[in-house]
Amino acid sequence: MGVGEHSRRGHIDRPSHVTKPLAARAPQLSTRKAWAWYAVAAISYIGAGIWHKALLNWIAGPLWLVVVVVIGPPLRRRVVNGADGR
Amino acid sequence: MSWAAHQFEIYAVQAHLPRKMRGQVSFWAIYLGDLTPDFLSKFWVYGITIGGSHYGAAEPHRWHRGWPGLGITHTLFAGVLFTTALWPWRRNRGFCVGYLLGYAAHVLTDINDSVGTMLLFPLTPINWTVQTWAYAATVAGGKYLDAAAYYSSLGLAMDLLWLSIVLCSWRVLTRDYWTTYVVPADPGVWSWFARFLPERGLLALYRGTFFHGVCRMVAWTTWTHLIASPEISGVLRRGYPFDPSWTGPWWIGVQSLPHVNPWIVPPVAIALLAGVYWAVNRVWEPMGRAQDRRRHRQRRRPLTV
Repeated sequence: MGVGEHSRRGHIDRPSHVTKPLAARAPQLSTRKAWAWYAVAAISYIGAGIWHKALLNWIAGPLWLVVVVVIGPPLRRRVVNGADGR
Repeated sequence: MSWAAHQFEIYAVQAHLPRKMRGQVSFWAIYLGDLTPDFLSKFWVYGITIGGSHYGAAEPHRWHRGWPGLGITHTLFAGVLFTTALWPWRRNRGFCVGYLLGYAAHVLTDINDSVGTMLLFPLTPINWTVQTWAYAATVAGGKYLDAAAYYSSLGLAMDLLWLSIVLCSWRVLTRDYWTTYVVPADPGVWSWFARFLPERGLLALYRGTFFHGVCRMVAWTTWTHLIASPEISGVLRRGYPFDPSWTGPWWIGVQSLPHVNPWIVPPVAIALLAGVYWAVNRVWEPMGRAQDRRRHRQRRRPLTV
């Protein structure tokens, strides 16, 4: 896709030096699942932050989201598979 | 001071880069530029208490924004100075321009509290403030009272304004935007993170500061109005009273420093913001040529064993 063209979904002009996705080793989450994990991260972080204000800082905030989004899905799969006896 | 506004403005700057700079200005530089003023000055504003003894600034507002003090960290002059110091290091125009834009966004947003910033330092050490809400960092009140005052005043409106600016440019938060404009501007940094994180983690890292801004705004507002039990004017209350009046809230003493007439501040701030964008537009091409020359020289340098 060249300069000035539009992507189908986001209507974003792509410059000529667009890179390929960096890390494709883990499966992508569907949009619905991604939203769900972001919501889990937000609710848990806000809840924890209200009672432990030290968590509301510029390192813990982004880190909280990354940890939930990266570790959450495989952890959930493992728990669900474990519950199913597989 | 501003709270979540500083997290949101990073994405607002990223979303409103001049067209020719898109995909080339470093997101991490905008982030670092926006973080630097408070990183350098704020640790001593609230101070620390060890064994009942408080260590910190005697007058937090003067230390944070005044001169003498670390008010110099909240000036465009310091932003230009740090950017100029960064340039010889890597000759990376995307990083330097991003850093300056992030720095300028922080300095200009902070004119809204009652102390303001020294916009024209070193020409004059006088502060420039619109006095939209009260600067509330005090030795006795610390961070909690500061947050309560901010989220009971028009400070909350400022956070919501910056949030709405980002949401109006919501594409800046999409995966498509990230892969198209953000990663190409910082390939080395994102590649390094990609050694440890899958793509969904990298995207979460990019969105992390926005996430932090939203969550801290909700958490502090909830605590301020639903959970805290302050005693104000001898009356025990459930939650701090909300006061959307100018230079509010009424229940906190307004801190201030010698300043110019607030009416002249908005046009001057807008002119300075326009000046910063004009300046980076003007230096963009010469910086690019200098960057190319350096890379060319590095490629030609013979290997020594």
